[in-house]
Amino acid sequence: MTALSLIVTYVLLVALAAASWLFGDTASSLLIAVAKTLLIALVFMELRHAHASDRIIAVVAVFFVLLLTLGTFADVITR
Amino acid sequence: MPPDTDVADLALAHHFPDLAKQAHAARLGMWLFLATEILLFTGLFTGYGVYRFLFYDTFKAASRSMETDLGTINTFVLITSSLTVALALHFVQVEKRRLAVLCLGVTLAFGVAFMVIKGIEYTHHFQEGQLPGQYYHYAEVQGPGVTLFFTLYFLMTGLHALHVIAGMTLVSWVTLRRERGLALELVALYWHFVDVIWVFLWPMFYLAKP
Repeated sequence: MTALSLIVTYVLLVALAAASWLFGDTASSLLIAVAKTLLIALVFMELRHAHASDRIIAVVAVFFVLLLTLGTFADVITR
Repeated sequence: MPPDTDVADLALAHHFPDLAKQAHAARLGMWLFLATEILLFTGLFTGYGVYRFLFYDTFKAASRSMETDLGTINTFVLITSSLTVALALHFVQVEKRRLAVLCLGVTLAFGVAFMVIKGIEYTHHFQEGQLPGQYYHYAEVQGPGVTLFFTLYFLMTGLHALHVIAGMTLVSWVTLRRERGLALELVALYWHFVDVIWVFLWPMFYLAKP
């Protein structure tokens, strides 16, 4: 990982945070938060260079997050 | 795994055939730990989402009463600290130890700044009566579910603040011990995770424009 790629990622993160602040609504800000998380995970946490087993853990964690949130909201919304 | 991380300073435990496998096991353990942490916060985020759905207008009004400027400053503070800890790891890998120590010091300073800003914000909440449960007495935002908003706010940001303190302790530890390899890499992973949690806390509690 080069220092330049880290700094470019940081600039993108700042730009995305600024976009969140400008839009100011929760829905678009949460979508931007997902984009920021991807940048942090792939570049700062070096997930794109990580061992396959580490990446599987990250993907499974995201799957469990979706399962928990979507299952809960499906229940709440359809009551 | 970052191929450049130095694992030569590790002591080989008897149940590993070599240092590379030991380092891989440590990274795997850290990712598993972070996965459990993600699920812990997901439960809280889901609870927040459900109550926001049930008490939408009140949660929106409560969000508007938050100090968005302070929350936004803290967002930039944590993002910048994520950069400095990533740079510290990079400088360690290219044998620039002094720059690495400098970056870790800056990371710690940002951690302190985050906590100070959070402390200022909490103080304002206490003074205005924006408190959880029966202690809530903020006149400008009333309605069903308003105490739940502040209960969840203090629970989630408080738990996150504890993680920031833990992260600062770990960053201090790797700096003082002059760790240059795997320990620093694992601490950096933890610090980035703390940043990611705030990336979601910020829009959920602070950004609620119509």
